Amino acid sequence: MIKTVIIDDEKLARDVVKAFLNKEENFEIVAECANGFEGLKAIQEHQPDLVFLDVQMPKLTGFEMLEIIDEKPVIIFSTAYDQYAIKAFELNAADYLLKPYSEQRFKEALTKAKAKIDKSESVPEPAKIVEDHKEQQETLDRVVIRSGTKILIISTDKIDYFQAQDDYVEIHTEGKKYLKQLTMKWLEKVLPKSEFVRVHRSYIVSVKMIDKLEAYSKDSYIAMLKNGDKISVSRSGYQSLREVLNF
Amino acid sequence: MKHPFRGKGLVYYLLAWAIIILAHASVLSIGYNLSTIIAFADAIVCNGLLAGVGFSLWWAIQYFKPSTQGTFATIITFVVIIILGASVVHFICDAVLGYTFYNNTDYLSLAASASPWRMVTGALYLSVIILVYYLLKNNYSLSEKEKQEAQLQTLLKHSELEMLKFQINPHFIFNSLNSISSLTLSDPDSAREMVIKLSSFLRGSLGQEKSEVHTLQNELEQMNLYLDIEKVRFGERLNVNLLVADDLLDCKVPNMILQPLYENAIKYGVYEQLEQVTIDTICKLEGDRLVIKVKNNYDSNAAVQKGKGIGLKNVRSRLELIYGVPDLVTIEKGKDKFCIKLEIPQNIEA
Repeated sequence: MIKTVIIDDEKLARDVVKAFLNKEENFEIVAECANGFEGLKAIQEHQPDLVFLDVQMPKLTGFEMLEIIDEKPVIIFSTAYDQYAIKAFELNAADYLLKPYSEQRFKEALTKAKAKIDKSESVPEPAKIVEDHKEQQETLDRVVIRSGTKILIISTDKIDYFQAQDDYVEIHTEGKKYLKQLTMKWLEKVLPKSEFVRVHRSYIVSVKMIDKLEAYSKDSYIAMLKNGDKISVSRSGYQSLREVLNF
Repeated sequence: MKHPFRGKGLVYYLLAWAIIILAHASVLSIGYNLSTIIAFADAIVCNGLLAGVGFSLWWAIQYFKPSTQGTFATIITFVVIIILGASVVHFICDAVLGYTFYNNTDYLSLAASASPWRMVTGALYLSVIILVYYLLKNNYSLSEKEKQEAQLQTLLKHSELEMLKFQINPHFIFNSLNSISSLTLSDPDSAREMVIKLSSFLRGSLGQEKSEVHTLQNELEQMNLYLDIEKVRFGERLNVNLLVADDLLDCKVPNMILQPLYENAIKYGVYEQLEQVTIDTICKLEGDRLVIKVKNNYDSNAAVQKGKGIGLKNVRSRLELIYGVPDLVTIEKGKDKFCIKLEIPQNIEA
């Protein structure tokens, strides 16, 4: 039996999946979820083989939910209209379904998903899909972090700075810090340019958090933040700051 | 532009020349003691010729324009034309009148001594006529330009308004169609009902809807269709209340002006929170303005995905374009209530 979870915030949309799936053999619906939080819980609890995932959901989008899952099941995305994401899905997810879809199209998606599940050695890489989706994203408004059993949704307005830590980035916000698997390069691209500046190879800082700048050596500076933290600023970082702050 | 001295214009032109002829003749007969016949003959021949030349100068004006010839060249051209015209008239006058009254020595000597005067007055008359032509022409092109500009303005306003009008969100259409697809399996009657609602809504918003404004009643009916469809999609998560007095239903509002407000309420209310969302609509008359408030509960602390805010900006621009009054949209963000207030002037014919 293939354990399946359906995550969609609209009941009628879940009903379609349920109705089509009930006609199939070998599929067992272990959970039906109306939002990303429920979905996350269900995935951790049931360890399903397959997940039907809507992209746009309250609080936590399908993409954000995937970001914080460790063991990723095979995913079939469903979305009403998202021409950019479609391209990204095409190569990576088991399949994507454009609502409304026919039963035949649904069966095709199931066949693809089954093939992926059977080849279980390398579970598909939804992480890649998420990456691709990020490429399309214009600006980053919030970051989703899993901290123990809690899920935090942090608005970028509240982030003081990002610090590179090997393959991770440490997010400093309101006196706390969290690790998340991100790259500085990507952050630099999607954060609002007028609010965040890459001041150093290892730092991206929120300009409104800077209290003052002090010369450190001939070519470098130290940024004193309002929360008391000190951050190195390289020469090119200093130039970028000058551009954004006009001094 | 046609010749200005047509119809009524021609009557005035001839009348002016008749007065000049009369004055000319009286000066000759009273001032210089010439016989009435000779005085009138001189006046008519001389001024009649000038009137003819003056009349035909209009066509010369059409060919020699400062815009193509240059101002200086045009002035030179007209000085030459005036001198030439006055000389020809003078020459013909002398020839015709000298031949006719060859035995009247008094007249001939007077004519000879007044020769420079004939030239000067002839040139003066022709110059005045040219100036009048230019004046009329300028006036005409000015009013023409104003007319064109006004036309352009209305055209611009119209296309701008077209652009600002509600553009249907594809998410809404495809999600609604998906709900219908689902209902055909579980509840065909509701599916049919929803197809009908979606069709009427689309007909009202896609169709080249007649006028820019319609009654509040029409607007609320249209919005009810929209909200009913959304209620089918979101079920219990969406709750809608409407508070409006019956006597306000005839008020005029721009077509589909409330739709972006509801879309916004659903986006930030329903899409961004897990609790039930209530959208309240309250209509009141304050002075000569219809005030419409659309409220929804929301979580002010949530980290939301920011939209571009185009919907509300469009509402603002549209109201400003239609009514010519700024700031008809106010947004009030409370701790857990989000409220958009529209003020719609009622005393203006829009």
